[in-house]
Amino acid sequence: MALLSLRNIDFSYGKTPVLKGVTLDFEEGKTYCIVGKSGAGKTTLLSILSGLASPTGGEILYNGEDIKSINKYEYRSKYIGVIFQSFNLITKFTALENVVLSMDIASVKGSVRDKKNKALELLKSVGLDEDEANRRVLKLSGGQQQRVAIARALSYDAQIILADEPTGNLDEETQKEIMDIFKELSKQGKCVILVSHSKSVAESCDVRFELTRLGKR
Amino acid sequence: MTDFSDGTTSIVEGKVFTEGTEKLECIISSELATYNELSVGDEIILSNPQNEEETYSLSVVGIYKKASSQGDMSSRFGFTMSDPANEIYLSYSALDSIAKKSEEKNSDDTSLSLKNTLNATYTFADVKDYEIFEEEVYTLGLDEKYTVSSSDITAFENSLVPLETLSTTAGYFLVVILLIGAVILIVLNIFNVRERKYEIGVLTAMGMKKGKVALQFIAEIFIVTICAVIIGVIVGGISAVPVTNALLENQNSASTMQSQQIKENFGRESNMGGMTPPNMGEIAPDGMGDKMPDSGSLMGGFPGTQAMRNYVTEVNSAMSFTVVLQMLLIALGLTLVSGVVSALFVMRYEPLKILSNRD
Repeated sequence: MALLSLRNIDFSYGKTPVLKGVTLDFEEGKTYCIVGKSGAGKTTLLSILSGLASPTGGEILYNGEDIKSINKYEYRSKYIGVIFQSFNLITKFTALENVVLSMDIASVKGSVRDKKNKALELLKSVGLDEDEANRRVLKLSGGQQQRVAIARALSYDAQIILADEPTGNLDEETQKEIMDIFKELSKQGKCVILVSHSKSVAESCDVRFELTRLGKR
Repeated sequence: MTDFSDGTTSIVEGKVFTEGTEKLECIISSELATYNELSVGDEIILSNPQNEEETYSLSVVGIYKKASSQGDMSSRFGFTMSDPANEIYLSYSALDSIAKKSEEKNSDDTSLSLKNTLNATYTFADVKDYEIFEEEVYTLGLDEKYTVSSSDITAFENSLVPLETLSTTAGYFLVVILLIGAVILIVLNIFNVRERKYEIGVLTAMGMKKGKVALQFIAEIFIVTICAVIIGVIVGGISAVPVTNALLENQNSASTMQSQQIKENFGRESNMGGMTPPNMGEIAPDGMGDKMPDSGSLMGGFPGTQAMRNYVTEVNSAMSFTVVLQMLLIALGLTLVSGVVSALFVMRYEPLKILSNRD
C-alpha cells in the first residue's frame, strides 16, 4: 500500500484551475521527482502534500487514511518533513536551535541535552560541523542553510520528506551532495518527494511525475 | 473629660460631682481654688452674662489639677475665658437643670436664656464615632434647627484640599496616559506581529498551532510587562515622594493664593478651618455659627486663627502595596488587551500565504 496517495486532486486559485484530477501514489524507500514547467502547479502540489493548502476536490490518503481526519498541525509536525525552496529557517536562531525547535514542535521526547545532541548528529550527517551548527543561519551559505533545512525535516523522524527545488541555488558539487543525502534517506526507508525542474535531479530519482498545465500527467 | 480618663488631669482634693442628680455640685481647678481662696465645701456664685441678676450657687465638691498647664499662653495674653484653669466641671443633669431654670427665669425674653449660649462639645476617638453620633443625635430627638459640626474635621478636610485637587488632576492625567498608552501598546504590538509575520508563517508551517504561537506572543508581552512593572515600581517608589511633595507644594501655593484673593475680595475666607483641638464635635443652633465663639479660640487657640489653613504640605509615603497592586492589575489588563489584539492578528495569518509572499 502506498504511504501517501493523491486521488483526483483538483485545485484552483479563484476561478483559475491549477490542478485537475491528479492521482499519484508515493511509497516508502523511493525518491520521487515532480517535474514540470513554471506555472504547472508543482509548488501548489507540494503545498497540498504538506498540508499547507487544501485541494478544492479529491482526497489525500496517508497510510490509507484521509488526512482530513488527521489534525493538520500534527500532520505537518510529525508525518511530513518539508524542505522549502527558500529554506524558511528562523533567521535569528542558530542552525542547532532551528533543529531543536522543530523537535519541540513535534513533541519529540527527551531532555534538552538529548535533543541538542540529536540535532548535532543530524547536522553532522548533512555535513555541518559543531561550529557551523552554532552559527546563526543568516551567517551560513545557501548550501549550508539547505542542509540545516534537511536536518530540520529529519529531526522528528517523519516518513515523508518533501523538498521544493532543493538544489535550486546550489553549485553542482553541493547539488550532488544534497542529492546523495536524499538517496541515503530513501535507502533508510523514507519516501522522498522532490519538486524540481532540473533534469539532473529528475534523472537521479527513482520515479518521475511530470505535471503539465491544468494538472495533466 | 478625656483629660481625667487619660490621666493628664486628676482630682487632688475632694471628689467628683455625683452624676444623675440635679444637685449643683462642681469641681474646679487648683489654680482657680488658690487664686480665689476656695476649698472643698465652699460655694461659688455664677451669673448669666446676658442677665447678671440671674445667679446660681454651686457647691465645690472637688479640686482637680492638670499635669501640664495648657492654658498658660492664653492666660498670659489675657484671654481669661479661654484659660483652661477657669474651666468648671459639673454634671450634665446639673447643667440641664440650670438651663431649664434660666429658660423659666427669662420667659419674657428667651434670648437672654442661658440655653441659647450653651455650646455642647463632644470628643470622639475617631471619625466613624463622630458619624455615628451625627446620625444618632437627630434620631434621639435633636431639633433640626441645630447643626452638628466638627471644626476639626472641617479643618482636616480643608487641609486636604490641595492634596485632593492634586489627586483629581493626577487621576485625569492617569486616565489620559492609560488611554494613550493602551493605543500605543496595541499599535506597537500590531507592528511587532506584522514584523514577525514570517516567523509566524514558519512556525505554523512546521506544525505549531496558531493558538500556541499566539500564546507565545502574549507570554512575551507579559514578560516585558512584568519587567516594566518592576522598573516602574522601583522608579516610582524612589521618585513618588519627592515628586508628590513638589507638586503638592505648587498646589499649596496656588490654594493659598486663591484663599488670599478670596479674603481680599470678600473680607473673609470661604469657610471655616484652622487651629482647633483634635476630634471635637459641636452642636450649635442653626445660623448661630458666626455669633458663637469658635471652639478653637475657646480651647486655647488665638482669636482669628481659624482663618489660617494648615494644608498638608508633605506626604511620607506616596506608594503603597495597594497602589503597586493596582498598577500591576492595570498593566496586566492593558497587556491582556494588546495581547488579545496580537493574538487575533496571529490567528488571521495563513502560513502558505506568508511564505509564498516571501518567496
